[in-house]
Amino acid sequence: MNINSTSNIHSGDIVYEETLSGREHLVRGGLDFTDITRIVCRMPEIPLLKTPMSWVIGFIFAFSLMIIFFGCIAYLIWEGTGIWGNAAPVYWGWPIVNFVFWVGIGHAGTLISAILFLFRQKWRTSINRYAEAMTVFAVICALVFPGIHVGRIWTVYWMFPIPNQMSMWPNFRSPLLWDVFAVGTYFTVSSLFWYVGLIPDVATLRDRAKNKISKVIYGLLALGWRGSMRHWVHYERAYLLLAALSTPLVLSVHSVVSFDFAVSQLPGWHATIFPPYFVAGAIFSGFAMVQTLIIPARSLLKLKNIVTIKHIENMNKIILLTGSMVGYAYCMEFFIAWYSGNEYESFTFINRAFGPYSWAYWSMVSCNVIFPQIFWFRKCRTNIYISFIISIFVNIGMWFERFVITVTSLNRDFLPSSWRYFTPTLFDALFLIGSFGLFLSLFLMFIRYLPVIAISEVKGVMPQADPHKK
Amino acid sequence: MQKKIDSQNNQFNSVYKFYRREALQLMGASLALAGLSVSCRRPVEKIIPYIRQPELIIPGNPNYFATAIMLNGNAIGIVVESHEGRPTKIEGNKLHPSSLGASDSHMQASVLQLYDPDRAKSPTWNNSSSTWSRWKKWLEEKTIEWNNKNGKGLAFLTTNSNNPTSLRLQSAIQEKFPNSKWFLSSDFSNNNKEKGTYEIWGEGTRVKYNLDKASLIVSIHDDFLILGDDHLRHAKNYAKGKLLSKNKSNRLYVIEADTSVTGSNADNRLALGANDIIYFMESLCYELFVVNNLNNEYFKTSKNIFKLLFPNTKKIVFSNHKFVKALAVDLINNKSKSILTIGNHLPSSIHSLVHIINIALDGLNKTFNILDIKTSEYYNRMINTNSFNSLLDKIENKEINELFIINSNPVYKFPFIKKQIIKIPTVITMGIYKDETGSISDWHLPTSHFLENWDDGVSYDGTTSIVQPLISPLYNVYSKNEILYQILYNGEIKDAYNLVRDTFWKKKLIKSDKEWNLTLHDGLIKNLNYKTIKNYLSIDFSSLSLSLKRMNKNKLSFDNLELICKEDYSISKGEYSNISWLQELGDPITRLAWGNALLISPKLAKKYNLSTQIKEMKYETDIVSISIKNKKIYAPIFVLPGLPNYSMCISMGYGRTHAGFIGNNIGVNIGVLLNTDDKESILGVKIKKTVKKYNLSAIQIQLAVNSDCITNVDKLHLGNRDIVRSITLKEYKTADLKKNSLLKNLKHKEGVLNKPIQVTRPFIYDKNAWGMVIDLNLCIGCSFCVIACQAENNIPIVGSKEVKRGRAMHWLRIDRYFIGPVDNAKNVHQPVACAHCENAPCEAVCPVAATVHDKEGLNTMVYNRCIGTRYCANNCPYKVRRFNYFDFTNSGDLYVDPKSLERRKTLQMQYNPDVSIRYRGVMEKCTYCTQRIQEAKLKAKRNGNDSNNMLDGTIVPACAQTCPTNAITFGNINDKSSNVYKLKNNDREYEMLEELNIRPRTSYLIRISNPNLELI
Repeated sequence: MNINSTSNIHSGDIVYEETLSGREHLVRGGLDFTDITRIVCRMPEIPLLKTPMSWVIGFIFAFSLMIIFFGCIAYLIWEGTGIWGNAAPVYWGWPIVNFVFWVGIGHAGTLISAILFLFRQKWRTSINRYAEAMTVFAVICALVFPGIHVGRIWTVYWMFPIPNQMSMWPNFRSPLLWDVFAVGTYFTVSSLFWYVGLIPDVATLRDRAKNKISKVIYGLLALGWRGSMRHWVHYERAYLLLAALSTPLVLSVHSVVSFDFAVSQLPGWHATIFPPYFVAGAIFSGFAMVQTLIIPARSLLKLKNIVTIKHIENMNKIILLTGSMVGYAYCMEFFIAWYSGNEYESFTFINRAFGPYSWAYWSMVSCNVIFPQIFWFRKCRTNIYISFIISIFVNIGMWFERFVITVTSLNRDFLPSSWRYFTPTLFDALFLIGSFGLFLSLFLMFIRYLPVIAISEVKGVMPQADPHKK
Repeated sequence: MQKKIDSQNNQFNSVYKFYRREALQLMGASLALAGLSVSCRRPVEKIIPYIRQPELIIPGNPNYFATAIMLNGNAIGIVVESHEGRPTKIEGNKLHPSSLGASDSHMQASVLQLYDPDRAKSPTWNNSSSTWSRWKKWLEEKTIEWNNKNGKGLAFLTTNSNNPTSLRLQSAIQEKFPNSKWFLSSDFSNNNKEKGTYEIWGEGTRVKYNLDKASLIVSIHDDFLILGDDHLRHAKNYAKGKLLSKNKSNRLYVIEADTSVTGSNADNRLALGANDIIYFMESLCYELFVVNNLNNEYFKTSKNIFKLLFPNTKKIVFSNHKFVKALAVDLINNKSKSILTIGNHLPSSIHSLVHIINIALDGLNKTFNILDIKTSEYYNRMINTNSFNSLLDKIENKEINELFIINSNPVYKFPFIKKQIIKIPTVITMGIYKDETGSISDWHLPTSHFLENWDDGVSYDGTTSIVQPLISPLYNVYSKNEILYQILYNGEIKDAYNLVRDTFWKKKLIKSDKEWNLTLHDGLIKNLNYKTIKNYLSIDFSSLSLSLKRMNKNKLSFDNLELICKEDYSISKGEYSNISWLQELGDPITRLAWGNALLISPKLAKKYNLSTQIKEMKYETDIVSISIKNKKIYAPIFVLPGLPNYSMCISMGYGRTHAGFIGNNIGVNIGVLLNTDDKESILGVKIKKTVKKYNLSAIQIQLAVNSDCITNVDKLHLGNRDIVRSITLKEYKTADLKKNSLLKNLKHKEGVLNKPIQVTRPFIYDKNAWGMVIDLNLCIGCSFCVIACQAENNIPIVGSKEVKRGRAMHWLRIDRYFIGPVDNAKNVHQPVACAHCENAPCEAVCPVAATVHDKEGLNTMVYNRCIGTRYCANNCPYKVRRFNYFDFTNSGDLYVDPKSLERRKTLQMQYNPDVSIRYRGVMEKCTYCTQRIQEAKLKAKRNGNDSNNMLDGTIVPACAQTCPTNAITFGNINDKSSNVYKLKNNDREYEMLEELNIRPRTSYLIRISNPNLELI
């Protein structure tokens, strides 16, 4: 084991070099297998009454926001969709923006879990469980919004092809219906993938469980995992298959969500750049959300050696890449709007930048394109404070991007007589905040009771896992 | 170990024991819960069929009855659609010369007034509920007094409404109580028109315009297309003259001080303050009589008419001389085919002057007639009526003991007289609403709505109609005539039917029951109207010139501003304040709803640093104080291009305090500032900016102007969009209108109306193919079609707050755009409703297929399938779809608050039963009146005819029916003989946003304006 002090970035960090590849070890601090298990299983095994105060405060906060969310939904069902700011011609407002925002966030998790798995990027192992959980919970939050933004929530099941008394199929030409299938599929596959990946780790928890309840619950969840070679073979195969299934979903789901806009006729929506632009944006915002969640978690849960600065740096690189792609898409939209010679198209883009919503547009551009450029500098992308701050900005910027796309194209479209400014009401804000409450509640429960890191996979990338190692 | 295993087994057993007892418990619980769910069903409402079906009523089939409505004191014939004994829709009467099949917004909305829950329901005495028998007792006591004194102290304040029976009873009362005093309710237009014709043709004459005979129409402050007597007929006649051929079209000049709808249709317009009209007239007379030597044998003088009218004028001082010169030349060129019309409120001497010009232009008995009212059967006008001011004097002198106020609301119009009215010992008001005057009166006697009781009416040109009721009185009310009869005959009750019959039988105007039935059927008495007169008095030029001289005042300037109080387009002078449809109907020019604003010109706004701005969601404007002498009110302003620089306008009818639930506290009552002798144009008005701001409610908020408003109107976003196409007549003669059209090279194949939508399998519309053409040339922007659509299709009202959010539910809207620079901005109006696109963008995107295309080309909205995702509305390029964000109709089945429930009881009687009411969360839009299409098809099938070959004109949607200029044409495009087919093949036809390839079935015809080329 060489302690190579010139290649470590942070003094005090013990970084080991791989003997063969020359790359540094992914897990720092000279940990071995039992250390990993101990570190990761520490949080789930804390007895209920000794739950750390920081978690309790966080959970109370998130839970109260969630209660507000459900209360608002009840009020919405009672009163009607008029409690939001939607009005002619802006028939889609914050709920749809929130929907696209949450669905987009989910894509990072699937990319980390599935695509990076297929590309054999070993560094994904520390963050994939976490990111995958984020995906599942983000998709849950996302699925709530199209369900409640409809005028008649009690009939929303008509979008599903279920036999009914009207003998009606849903309309397969509609992008909203494609959404139903795409996001539904995404939810199903992501949940499966996440759950299947969890099985060995939950089995670890089951084996280490001290009290009866933990044993029973973890035992149920572990589905009788014995850790035998046969189980591992099946597991690896299933994992590979699910990864292969999830990979196209990363690209297709948000493309389908972008069709909600691209298939319509509105200038500013009707653009072929939308599918790749949205997918890039989704990955961008998803990674930012992963950063936002993992940077505090790794210090609070004492995971600094497993989720290292290298992981943070890699994620920042992806953020920089996708942010630049999004920036390129903005430029292309402008260019095509001018090049097309279409009066309505050019007006829409000038309106976006200089019209009544220019404040939203420039927030979006600065948060999405300008701020992440700071990651060109190594010092910045390995600094956790800057990473955290930029990730928050990126989240805000990406929310604004969906807002700008949805609202500015609607508020000034073909006929000037129907132009009208959209202002959100209190309930728009409460729904957005409440959805964060739902997300955080679920996420905090995950942190508390399930292993946040894929124990078996991390072990697989440690030097000790190499059978030829001495 | 064994113990442990046993205990575990026992645990297992206890958890999983599920024997008979547990099963029964479970069954009982589910039964109980099922019972709960059953009791949570919607309340059961039974429909009961007729046990004894009344004659002529077949449930589901409407009946139509002809009657008449009084507007501005004159009758207009209408036909009312009645479902199961409830009137639901008012339409025009084709046979009646004042209507000719069209109706206006007040006529449409009066059906809602019938069902207004805020109507007075029973008599009140000192603001507490009373009975008719107590009234009778009081009347009997008073009659004894009046008999003794021959009616001394008894006074009546009435309106000038031309109802023969009322006039007959009123003169009978006047005869019976000779000392009683009669006063006419004050109105700005009081008698100016009559005095104007009196000067030349004597007493009892009035002028009737024949605009279809005129190729040049000059309107001087006359909004003749929308307001005033006979406006429906004028609109029809005006439309007749538009684009008679490719080379000929009539021309409209408008000189006005406000921005009226007629002004927006002008080919040449001059914004001129009402105060400065005298200078304009002087200049025009100079051009006509001096420069062009106009004369007419009628005048019986060889002297120069100008010298007779304006003997003291040395020099003409009129700033816009170019306009007058061109106008005069145009008038001379169109001699005997030109007409000048004049607004009611201008002084009578200007009326006389205009008549003189019209005579000089040889228009008598061509472009206008003079009607003789004196010789009519009912000429018993208020013979001894006094003015409103004399009423106030008499109150001061304590000469009035009992004052009857009939269908008038002076306390609202002139709030300062409240103190005077209270001085009168007994005030008895009669009216539909217990309004501001009724709230301080002693007796308020509720009268019946015209749809509830018998009456009669005479229209402007003398056509007499019988007003027949369509429903029994909803409340404990009597008609005005019945109450007058009671006053006349000491409380004796004779029902209105007999009173009306008496009027006509006595005068032998209707001699038999057969004639009576025919009158009721047609809606008018045949061959009974005013005669035209041929003789004339000699004109007293000297007295006329004296009164003209007195009008020479200071010109308008920043220090001499004028305020014009105009009749509101929706709620008139306040009578209709409580009708929600009218409050929400946007003003055609300002597009404001639910309130009024002080309209000021951009120049004036700049001087006082006032602005109307769109600030995010708010349509924010400054509040100013308006003061006249020592009275002051506060009002929001609205900056409107097109107003003359020193004139301000404000609508009357707002700021009511006792209108009812809808109309209370909406807007500002300008009456607070007014005196009874004020003319409509008031001078000496001062405005001052306050720091407060106001948020206007508007149906359309584009194109407001702010104080540094040298912005070119082109920049106000209409830009290069050719949504509204308008060219001049000169260009039309030579232009290739389809030059840039994308559809230019497409030929219409038989049955396939356009190029196939997709390469495979075009849909062939070989049966009916419904289509519509809206002629922008004929559309005057009156918005009557909007109200008709609202009445026909049960469109809900959303209220001021929701209108601010843009959630107004009108299926048809009239867009108003400004074209041209700010100092010479022209308005264009464009009605936009669902165009039923063949390639509809909305249909593809609905996830549940709630909007689908039917085989006849209609884009149908299936309310019960709609889940409310609103994607269709986003995708509609015209934005004609409307979403029910809340339960606007208060039809919610879970909970409706008690107040709404109470109001709903009568209001829901107006609903058209052929159109479903939409619940919240459901999208709706124009359906081409599919219920009317269905009705016609079913009728054809019942009669054994081919429902695919119906005669053109069988189906008329509500909007097309109401339009006074017939701008909307609807029909079967596959029928080559139909009007709509011909218009679709007209060279002026274009589709809005045709580059989107949506193939709308509603297309437009290009507007052709005919401006005077010298004035461009």
